Amino acid sequence: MTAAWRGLLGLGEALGVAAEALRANTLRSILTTLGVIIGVAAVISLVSVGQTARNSVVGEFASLGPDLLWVLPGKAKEGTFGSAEEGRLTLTYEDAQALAAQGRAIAGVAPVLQTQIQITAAARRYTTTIVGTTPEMLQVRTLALSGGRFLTDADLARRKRVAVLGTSLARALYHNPAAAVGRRFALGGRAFEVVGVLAPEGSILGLDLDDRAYVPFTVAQQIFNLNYATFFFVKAADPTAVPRAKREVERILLRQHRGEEDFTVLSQSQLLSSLDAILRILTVALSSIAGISLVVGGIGIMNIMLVSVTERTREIGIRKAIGARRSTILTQYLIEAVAISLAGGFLGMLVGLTGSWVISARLFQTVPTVATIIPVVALAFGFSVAVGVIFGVYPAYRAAGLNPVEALRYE
Amino acid sequence: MTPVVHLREIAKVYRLGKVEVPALRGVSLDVGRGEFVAIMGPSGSGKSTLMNLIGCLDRPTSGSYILDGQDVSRMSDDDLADVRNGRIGFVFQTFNLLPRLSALKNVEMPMLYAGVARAERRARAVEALAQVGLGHRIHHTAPELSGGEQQRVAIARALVNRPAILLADEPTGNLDSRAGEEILAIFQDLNAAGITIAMVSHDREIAEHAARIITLRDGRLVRDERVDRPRRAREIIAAAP
Repeated sequence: MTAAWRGLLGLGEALGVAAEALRANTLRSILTTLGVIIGVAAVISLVSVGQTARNSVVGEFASLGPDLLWVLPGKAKEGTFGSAEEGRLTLTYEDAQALAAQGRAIAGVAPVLQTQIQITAAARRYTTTIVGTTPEMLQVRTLALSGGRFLTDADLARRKRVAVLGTSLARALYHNPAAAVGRRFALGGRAFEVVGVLAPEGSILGLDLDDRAYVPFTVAQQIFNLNYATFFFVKAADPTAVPRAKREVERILLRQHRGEEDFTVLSQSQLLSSLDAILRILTVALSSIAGISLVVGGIGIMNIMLVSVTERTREIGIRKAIGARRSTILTQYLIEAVAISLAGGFLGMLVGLTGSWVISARLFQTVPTVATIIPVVALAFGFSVAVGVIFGVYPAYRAAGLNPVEALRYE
Repeated sequence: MTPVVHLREIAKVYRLGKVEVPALRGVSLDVGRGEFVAIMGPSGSGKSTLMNLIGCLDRPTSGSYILDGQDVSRMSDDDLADVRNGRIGFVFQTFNLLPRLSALKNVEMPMLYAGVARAERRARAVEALAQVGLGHRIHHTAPELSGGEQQRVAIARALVNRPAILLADEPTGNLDSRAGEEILAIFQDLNAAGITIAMVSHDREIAEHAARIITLRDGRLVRDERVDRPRRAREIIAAAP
């Protein structure tokens, strides 16, 4: 019989002793476990929701097409997403025309002037996104029509008050998207005629891309009284031409703006990596906050274990008197602490996975993948064992160090 | 033949803050194999301290202690734990059973720490319980048993690892006289079967169930006497109304 074996008592026996002790104080054990359940559930749901968000957002942006470039007003700092000079307008319709005319690696340019605004249809008010753009939008964003027609050059030239609606907006205004063509709505006191309805696009970052109305760029300039564009979509000739198209856009715009670099050109891959970085930071930050509750749960375990050591001083004395070694007592208490936190980890995992399932389904219309879940489950078990050991060591050490004579005298 | 307990000039000093309180001031004592010794003395005489030292629950401040041929006076905590587990059987005044466990599990516990396999543990525990007259009720927990029954379970637990000596600290102190007499009868039976026993008591009548009485006073051994005709517990029980 080796000393190590004796010290460990056999894992089965030690687990039996631990289970016995936990059963003796069922309510207390459950309450203690609750701390770990909440902590692990919070970590799991936040990590897996964050993961799902990343997958889903990255997927959404990827679906926009690998050959797309964004031209934003203002100069962005290296590695940041969007413009550092928010609100500054520098891009004009003429810039867009210059890009379309001069770029050889550029397949199409769609300037966008958009804003949120209230419209009225059949005496009902509705707030939506009005997108002023050109006929190129259809090809640049590869949009599809489900009925009617898209904007035309004639609409732009004559500043006709016509609109092409997304499905969601058409449904909200007229109940049936198919019956929307030919109907009218009021925007800023003027009547607009619906000339087309787009096929559904889905959503991005939780934003419904089908809840919008495309109007001629020139009309949008008139309504908003602005001579600038919010941003441009630029489509490269093909996915391999993206870097070339990007250089061309920069060169042409620099000339247009007389050498002042007051714009930012982002390719889809840049956008994706910036977005991904932001979401990752968000996930880590939220999980760290959740991790704090795990620490609190651990302190709960330590507290209860210390109470238990005091309460069971006599028991420890008896065990020592009949031959339990320090290591035996130490192991026994450590196993109890780990058992509590493992039970909490397991239940917390169930709660957390259910929670992340529901949240992901609601926010991103998708559920966490197995590949997302496996590391999360490993994390939960790792965390709960670590919490049990870290916060169980001190009480166990206290118990093991008790003097048997004094422990036996304890009432 | 070497004695089971061989104490030479054992001293024990407790430190209470800055004050040193001597509990034992040089006790020398031999207990031979198969003896039944009672240790007497008023409270504060050091008899409990002596019991803790013989039981390896504590170490002497000075002096030497050879238990069953092995010097245990300078052993490490873990080695002392092993000695308590294998060579010593304790019986306490308050029984000291683990209340949530059955009688059987209580008796199995020392073997658990000795690393005895499950089946053998069970068999030896049942045997030890039968030896103290508790063949039935082995699945009851301590609170479901009477005081006398609890003390029998404690005796079975003390014997189950076949110790060199059985130590009893006021084993009848929490029992009525009849139950106490039955416990003493068990001790006398065990002693007759060759088991060495040392028992602390402050009561002369109880001490006279042993064949030898040692008296302590102020931390010194003041008397060591043979009992010519030890009281026979079985006869006392039979004679009782």
